[in-house]
Amino acid sequence: MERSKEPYIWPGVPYPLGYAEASAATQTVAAPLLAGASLTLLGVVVVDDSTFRWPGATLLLVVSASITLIASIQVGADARRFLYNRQTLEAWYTEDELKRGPRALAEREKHFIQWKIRNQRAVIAFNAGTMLLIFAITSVLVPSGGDLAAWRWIATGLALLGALGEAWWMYHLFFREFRKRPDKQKSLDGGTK
Amino acid sequence: MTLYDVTLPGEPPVAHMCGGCEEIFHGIFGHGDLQKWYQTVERRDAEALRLYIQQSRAHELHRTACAFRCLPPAVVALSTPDQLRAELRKVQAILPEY
Ligand SMILES: [Zn+2]
Repeated sequence: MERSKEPYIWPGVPYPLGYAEASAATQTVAAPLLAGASLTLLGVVVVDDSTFRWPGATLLLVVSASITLIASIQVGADARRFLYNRQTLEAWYTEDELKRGPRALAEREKHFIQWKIRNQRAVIAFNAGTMLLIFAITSVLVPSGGDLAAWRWIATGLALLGALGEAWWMYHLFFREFRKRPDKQKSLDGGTK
Repeated sequence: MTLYDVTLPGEPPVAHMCGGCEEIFHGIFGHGDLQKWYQTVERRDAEALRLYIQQSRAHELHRTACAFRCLPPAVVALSTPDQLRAELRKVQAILPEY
């Protein structure tokens, strides 16, 4: 039993390092845009439900899309409070103060885990919200008869195709390989995937 | 890959990294997974702990030389460096092979 010395351990960082930035952009730019769009759509369906084939189901889809997207904005903002780097600490504390080990320094790693957990929820909400929005749009497009029926069926088909593409992509993101086998990873091609 | 991750509408989930061997892995873990681990370690039953570690796919996650190779994905994903060291010490007290 000679496992005397403490093993080295790296601090927690987002992977890839730009992930947090990208995630914040999704939650502060993309999500509000989509939430606004779904609220507009909600207004349209509420005002005149005569041109829709299934106004009830459409309304339900639009409302759930709006709520989920707004939730992703809020949960994302909540998560973002827990993510900061050394620069933030250096901006708030002098070198001497940091050496004394302020609470913020001690809590950094715990907060990073908090960010991961909360941001994961925001990501799930955002993806669910976009999915619901696409289904809402699809159901809005389904014709209830009339002259434009053929065109609207085509548009419905396109929206469904978009929904399938989105669903496939999310499946790929969430259920990709748990991890590549360690020995195969660093081989022949120099690590490029 | 990263460009697609950002530009396509689906947002990728948070990836996790082992602080010991820097291996990246994916998965959505919650406090429930962590609780199960704590309960298993608390029982101090070597066989049960070995089985738990094996079923958690810890061996698939870490590099073979990683000091934290006994720790399951959920524990690695949701623990601070200090907590990781503490969990490792707990395992070492029960299983001599780590
Ligand atoms: Zn490891």
